[in-house]
Amino acid sequence: MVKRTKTTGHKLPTITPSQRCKLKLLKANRLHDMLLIENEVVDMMNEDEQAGEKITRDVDRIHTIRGTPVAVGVLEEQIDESHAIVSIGGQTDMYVSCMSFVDKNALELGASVLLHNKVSHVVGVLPDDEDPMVSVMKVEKAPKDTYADIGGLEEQIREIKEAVELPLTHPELYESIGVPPPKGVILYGPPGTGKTLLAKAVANQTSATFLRVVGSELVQKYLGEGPRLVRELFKVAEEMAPTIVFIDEIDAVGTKRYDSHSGGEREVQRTMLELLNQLDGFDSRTDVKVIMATNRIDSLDPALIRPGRIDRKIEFPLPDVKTKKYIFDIHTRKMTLDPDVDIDTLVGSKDELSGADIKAICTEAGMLALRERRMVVKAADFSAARETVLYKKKDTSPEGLYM
Amino acid sequence: MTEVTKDTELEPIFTTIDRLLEENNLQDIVKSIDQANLPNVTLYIEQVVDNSPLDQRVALLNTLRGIQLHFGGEIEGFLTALRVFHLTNDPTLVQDSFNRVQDNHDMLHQMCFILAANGQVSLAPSDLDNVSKSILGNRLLSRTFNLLADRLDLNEPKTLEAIFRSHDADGTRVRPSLLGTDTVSMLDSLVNAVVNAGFGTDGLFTSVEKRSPDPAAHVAGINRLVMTASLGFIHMWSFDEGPNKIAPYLLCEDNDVVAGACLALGTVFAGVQSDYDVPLHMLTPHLSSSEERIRVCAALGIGIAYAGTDRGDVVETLLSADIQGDYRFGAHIALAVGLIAIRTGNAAYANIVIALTAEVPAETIEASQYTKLYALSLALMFFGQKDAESTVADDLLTAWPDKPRAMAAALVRATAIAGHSDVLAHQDAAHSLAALLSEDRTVESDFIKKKSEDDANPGLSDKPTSLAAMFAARDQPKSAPVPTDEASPLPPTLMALSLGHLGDDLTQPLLGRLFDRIHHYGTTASQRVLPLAASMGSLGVPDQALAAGLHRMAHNSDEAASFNAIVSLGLLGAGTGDAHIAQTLKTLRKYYKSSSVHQGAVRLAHGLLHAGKGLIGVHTVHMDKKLLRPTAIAGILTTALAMCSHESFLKEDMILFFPLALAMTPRCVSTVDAALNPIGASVKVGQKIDIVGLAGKPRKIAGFQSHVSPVVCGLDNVAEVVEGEFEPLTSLHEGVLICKVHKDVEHDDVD
Repeated sequence: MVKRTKTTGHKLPTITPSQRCKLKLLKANRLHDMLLIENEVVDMMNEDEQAGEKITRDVDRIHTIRGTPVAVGVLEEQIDESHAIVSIGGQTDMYVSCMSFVDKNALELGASVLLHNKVSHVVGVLPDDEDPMVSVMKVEKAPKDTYADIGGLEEQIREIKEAVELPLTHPELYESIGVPPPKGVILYGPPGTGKTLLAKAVANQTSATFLRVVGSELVQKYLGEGPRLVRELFKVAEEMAPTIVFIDEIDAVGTKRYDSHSGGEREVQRTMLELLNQLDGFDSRTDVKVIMATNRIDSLDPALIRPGRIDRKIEFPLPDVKTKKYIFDIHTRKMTLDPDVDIDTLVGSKDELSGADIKAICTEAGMLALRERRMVVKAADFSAARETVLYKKKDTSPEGLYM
Repeated sequence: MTEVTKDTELEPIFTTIDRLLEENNLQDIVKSIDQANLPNVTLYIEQVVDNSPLDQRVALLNTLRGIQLHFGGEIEGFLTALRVFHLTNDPTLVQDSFNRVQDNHDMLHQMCFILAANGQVSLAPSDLDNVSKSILGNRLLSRTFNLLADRLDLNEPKTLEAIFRSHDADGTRVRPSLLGTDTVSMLDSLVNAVVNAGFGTDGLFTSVEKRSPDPAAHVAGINRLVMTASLGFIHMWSFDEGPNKIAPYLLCEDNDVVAGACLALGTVFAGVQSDYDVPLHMLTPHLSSSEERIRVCAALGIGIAYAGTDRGDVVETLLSADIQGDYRFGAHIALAVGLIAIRTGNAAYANIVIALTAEVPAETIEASQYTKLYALSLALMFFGQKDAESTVADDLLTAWPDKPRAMAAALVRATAIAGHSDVLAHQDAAHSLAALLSEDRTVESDFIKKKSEDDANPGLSDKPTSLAAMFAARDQPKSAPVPTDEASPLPPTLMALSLGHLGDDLTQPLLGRLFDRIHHYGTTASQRVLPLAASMGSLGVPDQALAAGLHRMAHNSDEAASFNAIVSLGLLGAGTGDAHIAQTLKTLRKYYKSSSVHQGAVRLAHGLLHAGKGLIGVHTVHMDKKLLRPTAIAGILTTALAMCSHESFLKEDMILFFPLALAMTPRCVSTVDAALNPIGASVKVGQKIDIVGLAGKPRKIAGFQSHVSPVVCGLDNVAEVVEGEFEPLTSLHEGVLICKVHKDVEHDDVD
């Protein structure tokens, strides 16, 4: 049997000032001390020979009772605390007794159970199998981006909070008003305006389970795999409810239906149909919310974004002057700036800058300062950086090409 | 050398602080501070203080206070002074802060607001004006709370059905016959009161009241008592209306109702003091009642009403009551004295309290569940006094048997190190815990061996294996539980672990890890206390990992352990309405559909989760978790210790749930002008960002939404008054904030 190491769900805290300083050292020392104490306590408990021996003896005893080999069956029905009906190989139904050491919480209908090879007592439960593809999608480690890293977009943040978080944390509010909570939202807008960033911030902040998928992941090689994955995804989402499902780049599967003769196209369309059904089908789920993001909302199938499936459409426009300034503030917050840097002049020009462009400018300016071994970033760096970024942008865009 | 000084202009301010810390003259930092970097610098130094060894903290705090006062931060300096007081028990700096602002009424009032929220009102100077006194007596709390409720439109009473059904879409019904039991209906009334706490109206009592005069007519005994006492929660903080509502019950002929009313009256005045000493006048006659439960409830009521005031006359009244060798009454008198004289270190009171047990036989002291209350009384009086442990064990309690004495010493130590985040104290507690556990394990395995020998059923599938007992004792629900050892030092030692780290965000996950280990290795006795200890450390901050741990513990087959785990889930999420916990409780309710005790626990937890309709939390720390609230800790500690004796907690000791009222308070931000009239300033509420050590002017709040004050905010959220029309006197983020009104802006509004 595989030896399972006992893990705790508690993550070690992050130590906040990331630069080297005394405070970081002090905090790290305290964590270290606490972990040492924990270690000591565990050692002291293990030293307790009697207990340790007894556990080994008991584990051995369970192993003897289980015997080898162990047959596997399916639990069909549980009669009472200690008796159950199991089927072996899907044919023979047997009335058997359950051993007292079997985890009763894990015993549920349809679970795979271990059966003693001679007397067919239930001697264990196998963990439920789940598509590994789906478990990969669960965001275990919350992304670092928070709402603080989003410049502007106040309106969008508010809308997404109302539509996604509030129904999960306070369903009673919607109940008392008598409005069904929205099922999902779609975020759309030009590239670099913060759609994925906002989703990351939601994942960072929310207490709900966060599943993230990219549309292209749903396109599979074999027939029927794509729709099955969508079903699995929503099944897992329901098991781990409350859940937020985030599907990035939904246009990979959600484009308008048209008469197609290619098998691949049809498979993609079937994947979308399954998605439609999961969003608003027969079994509607109240505690699974869907967030989708796309650059091209006009190419999506109208059925996908009809009210009832996706109730809220949140637009992410290119930032206006005020928001641009705000975004600059965020990205320059951790930089040491020369007093002569005037963000207003940077923002004032009529260039169409997206959030991502601004970030690129700030990074570039920092790099320029670094190149000259300066610790402060000057206005000249910013203007040079702006030129570079805008030049690059123009360079790659088709309008700049002359044939 | 010259190069170094030249560099100081370029080196980041935090490097300068580090250098000065190494050179031991941090006060020189004042030269490098200006208004722009002041908040960053003080925040950095504050966190350095929190993470330094205990013996260096007082000096650092003094320096910090010097910096704060140098830049005119009187209130910030006052908070630092309170922290110094917490470490040294020396009130000089607190008094100094009061003296500095004698002529500035706004500042004085602001300090009074802080002290009132903190609960240690005895620290304030005695020569205050009337306005300050009424602030200190928390008499504005009720008004603020009602305003908050108005603004959020929450005045409609919330019914039990609304709470239990709200997340219950699949409509699982519990068999009604089970819910008819008296215990459950008592818990239901308690839940109803907790949910409607402070509102003055509710869906159960006030509506029934209209139809028949006695709301608790169909139950008797303790259940009736508790149902009457629940009224105290409903009218909590309403110092003028509340007594009128409760007075009729005091005149009732039924002893249970009178006793309940005594307790209710005390609960109304939890953290609130009135001019006329209403609770003292109304409850003193009942101290000499011939009925035991009335005496007990009156004593407890007085204790709750005057907690933290250090009123000599009240203590005198309590101690002059004739206890007639009644151990239980004496215990409640002792507890009340402890609550009133909290952290005074008053040896005279301690001696009198111990004298109450003088003629009690040693067997009673060892076996009674009330011994804990005597010990708790001492622990409260010596709150925060590090050297008190040996005094209590070696000098005061010489007459007690060894085991209860060890328990009392452990309890005194638990309160002595509360909030210190001291690694050495933590190590001490952890070691003694490990020793206790191994002792306990021997006792328990003997018990199980003996029991399995008695068991006349050697059948393979039914025989409880000792492995099961080792891990969770899961497979013996029908057999007799391991008896509770009333004098065991285990509960206080476990609680010491979490009390020691109150308000310390950094170590919470590590505590969680340690508790997981203890759960893994622990005995049944430790598993009963573990959930309470684990939730005590992070009340109101429903950490997911911790909630998952409690969920696991809630499946323990030991009734007491699972009961405590379920209620702890409620305490953990108290007042937050956390969806995850609500979901967990829902599954637990299905799981335990045939056990009425667990049904009661789930209901109680649900009630706590929605306490005050989601406005009231159970808070042991406040002011950005920098300050402890000793009376609140006393309240939660009393309830938690009572729950350790689970059998009696569900019966006559249910009254010990009521001191929890001391910890229940809304965490809100409300704004008032200089004349203390409420004003509606717009306030940003959002997630807190840790900005320590960041350069420039980083944002403190993420994902905020703007509201008009008063607003309620969770323990891990911050609120900030938006710059503009109103400007708060201080940089605080919670409680009542006195604001300056900017004339010009206001003038624009009038036009």
